[in-house]
Amino acid sequence: MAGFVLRRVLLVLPSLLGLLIVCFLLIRMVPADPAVALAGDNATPAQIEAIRRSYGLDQPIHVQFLRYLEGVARLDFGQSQFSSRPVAEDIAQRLPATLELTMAALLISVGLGVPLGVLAAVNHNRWPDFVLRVVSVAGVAIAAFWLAIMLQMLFAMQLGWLPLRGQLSAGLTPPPGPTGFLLLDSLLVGRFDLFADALRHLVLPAVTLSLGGLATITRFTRAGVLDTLQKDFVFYERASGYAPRRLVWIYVLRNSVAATVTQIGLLFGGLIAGAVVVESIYDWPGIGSYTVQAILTADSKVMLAVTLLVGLIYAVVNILTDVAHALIDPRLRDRA
Amino acid sequence: MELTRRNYAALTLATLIAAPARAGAATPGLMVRSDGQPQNLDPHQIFDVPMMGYALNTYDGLYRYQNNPPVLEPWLATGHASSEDGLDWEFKLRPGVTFHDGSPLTAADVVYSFQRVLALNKAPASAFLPILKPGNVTAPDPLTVRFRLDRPYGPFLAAIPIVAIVNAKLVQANEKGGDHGAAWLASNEAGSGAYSFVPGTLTPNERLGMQRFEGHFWGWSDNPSPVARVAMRTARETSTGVLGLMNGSIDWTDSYLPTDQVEQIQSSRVARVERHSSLRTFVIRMNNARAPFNNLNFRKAMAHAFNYDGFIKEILKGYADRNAGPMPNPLWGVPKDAAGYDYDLGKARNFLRAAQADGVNIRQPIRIHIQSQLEQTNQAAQLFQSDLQSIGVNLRIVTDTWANIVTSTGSAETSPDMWIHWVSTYFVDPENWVGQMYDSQFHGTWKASSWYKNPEVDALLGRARGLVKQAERAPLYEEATRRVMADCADIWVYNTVELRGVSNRLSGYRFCPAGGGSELRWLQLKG
Amino acid sequence: MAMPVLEVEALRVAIRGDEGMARILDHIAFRLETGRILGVVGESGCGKSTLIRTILGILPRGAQVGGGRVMFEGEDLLAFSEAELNRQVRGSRISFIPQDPYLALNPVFTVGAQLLETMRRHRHGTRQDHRAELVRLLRRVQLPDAEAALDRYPHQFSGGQRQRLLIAAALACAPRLVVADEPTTALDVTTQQQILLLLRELVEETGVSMLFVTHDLGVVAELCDDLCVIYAGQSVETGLARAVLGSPMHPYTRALLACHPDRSEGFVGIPGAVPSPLRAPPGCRFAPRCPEARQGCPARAPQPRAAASGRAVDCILYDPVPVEAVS
Ligand SMILES: Nc1ncnc2c1ncn2[C@@H]1O[C@H](COP(=O)(O)OP(=O)(O)O)[C@@H](O)[C@H]1O
Ligand SMILES: [Mg+2]
Repeated sequence: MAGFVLRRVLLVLPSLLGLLIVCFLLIRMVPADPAVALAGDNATPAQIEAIRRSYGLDQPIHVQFLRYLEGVARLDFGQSQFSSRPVAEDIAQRLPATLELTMAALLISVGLGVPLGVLAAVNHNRWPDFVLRVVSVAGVAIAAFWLAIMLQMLFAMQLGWLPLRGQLSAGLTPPPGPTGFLLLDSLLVGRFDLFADALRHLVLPAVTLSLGGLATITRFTRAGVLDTLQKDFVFYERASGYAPRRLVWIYVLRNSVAATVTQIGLLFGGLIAGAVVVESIYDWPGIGSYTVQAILTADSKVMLAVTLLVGLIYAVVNILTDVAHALIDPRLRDRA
Repeated sequence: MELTRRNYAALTLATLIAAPARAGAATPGLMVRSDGQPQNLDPHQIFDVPMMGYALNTYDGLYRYQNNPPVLEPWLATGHASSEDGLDWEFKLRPGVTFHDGSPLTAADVVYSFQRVLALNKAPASAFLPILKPGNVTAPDPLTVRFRLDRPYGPFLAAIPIVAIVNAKLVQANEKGGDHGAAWLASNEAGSGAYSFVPGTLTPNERLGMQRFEGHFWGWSDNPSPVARVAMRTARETSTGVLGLMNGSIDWTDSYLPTDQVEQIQSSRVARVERHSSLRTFVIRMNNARAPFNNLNFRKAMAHAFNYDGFIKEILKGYADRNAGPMPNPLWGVPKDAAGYDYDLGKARNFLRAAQADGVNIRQPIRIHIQSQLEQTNQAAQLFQSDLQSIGVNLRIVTDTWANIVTSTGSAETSPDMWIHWVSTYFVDPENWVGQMYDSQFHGTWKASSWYKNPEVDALLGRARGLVKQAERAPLYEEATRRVMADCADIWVYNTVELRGVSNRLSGYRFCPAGGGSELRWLQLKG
Repeated sequence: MAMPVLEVEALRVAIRGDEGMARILDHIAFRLETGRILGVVGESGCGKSTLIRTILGILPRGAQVGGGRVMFEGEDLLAFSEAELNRQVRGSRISFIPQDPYLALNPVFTVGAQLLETMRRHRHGTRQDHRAELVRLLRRVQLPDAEAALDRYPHQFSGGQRQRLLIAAALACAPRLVVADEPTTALDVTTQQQILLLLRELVEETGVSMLFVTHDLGVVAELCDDLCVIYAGQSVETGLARAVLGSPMHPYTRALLACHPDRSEGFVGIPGAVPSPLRAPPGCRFAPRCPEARQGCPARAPQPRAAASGRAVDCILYDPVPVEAVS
């Protein structure tokens, strides 16, 4: 197993390099000249030229790329041209917010989607199944921003139960915690008021973000369970008098989640993409809104670093997915 | 009572839901702003509207614009004197001004600040680079600063407020590898302003905290209930900002509210819209260097085909003032006799025919670039498109970004046929509008992206730039503006009415076109 | 006479499908005395598995019992609720040995987890007790390395070993009745022999009764005390295995035995094909293929007649008043 993981990790490096090269070329193809944007309003052409030189933007592209790679090897991802801060610092500050959001969304998607999928399958072609099928089609079809606005109108404006936006109430100071994860840090420093406030801010964005995944997870779990229910061993287990709940939720489910686990892996990438929209609507200070800003201002170092990060997350999630598959199914373990 | 697991879960949920009543409620002394914050916090690297919204509060300048129309008032300086030839300028400083760290603000800090602006060579430098050498800023004594310009420069005084005075010792202490402390000041603050940045509260572009500076030189006796703390929380979607205003979680939006939100806010009891005529013009640019826009008749046809009143009345709900020339109406240097162009498709057709007679191919499709983030540029383009269609001109709308467009304006070949933008007040002087937009020496900058070239206009603007007295400069700018309008260089649409949503907790709002009313020290906060 | 452990009376089961009602079982009757092995033999598709499903109360969706009784130790299983069957019958008093040992075990759980799951539910005692008992049983069914086996996964065993596991599982809760659905069909001939031998020994040791379903007459001859021959959902002849095989009475049984010598060839010797339960002929379902069919066959409702001691046959030939005589 360890060897298997190691092999996968080593395979990741060339893919990331390829990703970087493609991204580097793409960014250079966009006409926006970061030096111009950087020089700001009222800049003279001479000023722009000076900036271009000072950022090495006048060098041939392969030189620029090698320079960049050299930096990356030292874990130096360059400076954001706009915040004038190291990109790594910006990302480190914002990544926890995005991870907190995506994890919460994933938790909702999986925590709700798996049971609902089982429920639909067990009640195949009866009303719970029909209802869930309609709902899961709707879940895929509804646009996140539309749902977000509906949720904001209802829960933040009409009922006033939940905050409209942001990660923490303006009057509160984030905990000085070690991890950067708001929920975790507020617990670590024993500030339950901060924890409750942060949690309440998390609800609407996480629900919005989770919807698409919820539908997918429900559908795949339902299909998986339906498939498993046809299996001989399920008949054998019923004939052996297994307790009905344990039969479904343990013995059938574990055989049915292979496809669901794959989906969860894919979903994680989707969630990060979805975070771009959701973070913008809810003013969530994460990677998503950072990326939007970077694209609008042609901040190439940020775009590259974010690409690398997303690629890395994808790769890690992929490996984790394979590990999860192997943990679930002993036959894969013996093969590996 | 035995607390089962299920009960416990329900109870937790209930507390989560019950807590909120406070959700929208405001924190005493705290004001929440949803207008954007600058890309970084260094006022010498960036000079734009969000930076003014930050730096007008955390930093001070020698002079400051106040009121509407703006008046230049002594701020850190008590006054100034200039030589007859306009080359030598001397500013006297107020005594006893201190920075946030308690150290005194002296002439040495002023000299350092101007030299730093020139050395960094970023946006705020452009007004001074052509006329000021770093060595020519001097401090003969702690309360005197002298400038010697390379040549007379009329807008010099108008540009003085651009430079924020930073704490020289503090910044120098944080220099790294000759960067003039650029990396450090990008996320720290070294000012003397009425508010200070609270360290550790910055997430770039998202949030930032400020608190009142008790020791500000202006004193606080004129304000019985100033804002104690300021939380900047950028709202990316205007609609979110407006919702926040209505539920009390935001006290202050940006000053570019979509006009359709105005009524909704006005009808609420918790907030209002501050409406103030500004100095910010809306322009549809034409690339005069390229066919068919190199033909005067064609340009006039275009100018007559835009439905100015329809756009202002229907789309902007009347919240804008028709501004027929390049200069904002309230400013000096505007020729009162120049009528500009009106919406008249009949005239447009005639000019089109005339253009055709000149050999212009009026059928060739033309492209207008809009800014994807700014819906109004799209609305204007759509309106224009339908009118042009009715006179047989094929306008295509290209969605673009500011960064792309500005890059493309580097040369006439790559500049768009047409594009739409605003010209805000960077300094209150005709130079900010007609000067930098139509003097061909600025070709290659986005402001001069119509590639207009008229030697007579260049000469007029050059002369105006070299004079110091407003009375002498004004007629030159008026004449230059007249010529540019006669040449129909661009399509000038309106002067902005700035619309800012403000909570009723706040009173004492003071609007000034430079900075858009974001100087918070005048505000009074109840509750 | 003592109460039989299982007595099936006039059992009818139909399944409603897209193409209409399929009458899968159309009068099944037999009895199984305590401690004996009853073979239920019939061609593929004649309803043997459906019979077992009916006994266990796990019928496919759309199936309904049209009549009859399934008397198990004096109680009619058809009257049991799902919960009662689950709690008191399946895996405890009646255990099941499936046809295909390759498919019957859950691939993602250890063998121990699966076998202990049943014991946990149906037996008293601690997990350690259960484990010890299981290991004893696994040794008894001659599974090598019985202790370690519990922590292994199904795919780590051969087919024969898996069937031994399943046999041990079937005995784990000391059932009164074991129903086996062609438990040796999926195995090679040698393994099949060993398994049959093992079953025989176990029945004798434990005194459990067994319903053994197969399509293989050779297996019946080897293993079973009693025999019930099924054709297209109808039980046509029952009796002592030796007696039925020695002197078959029903024309179907006779045809079956006549063409049997080569076991693997099955029933090719009988002309025609088994009717689909959707289009089953009325009356005796074998009539269209029967060399001795009479006019009255299609009109004759299934009704087994006692022939000799413990022998019953369901055919017009053995009815008291021959139909021809009336006509
Ligand atoms: N779920 C079902 N729906 C419809 N028909 C079925 C179903 N299950 C079995 N059958 C039919 O019932 C008949 C008997 O099947 P089965 O009991 O499996 O026979 P055997 O076990 O003797 O091979 C077959 O014709 C089969 O097609
Ligand atoms: Mg079968």
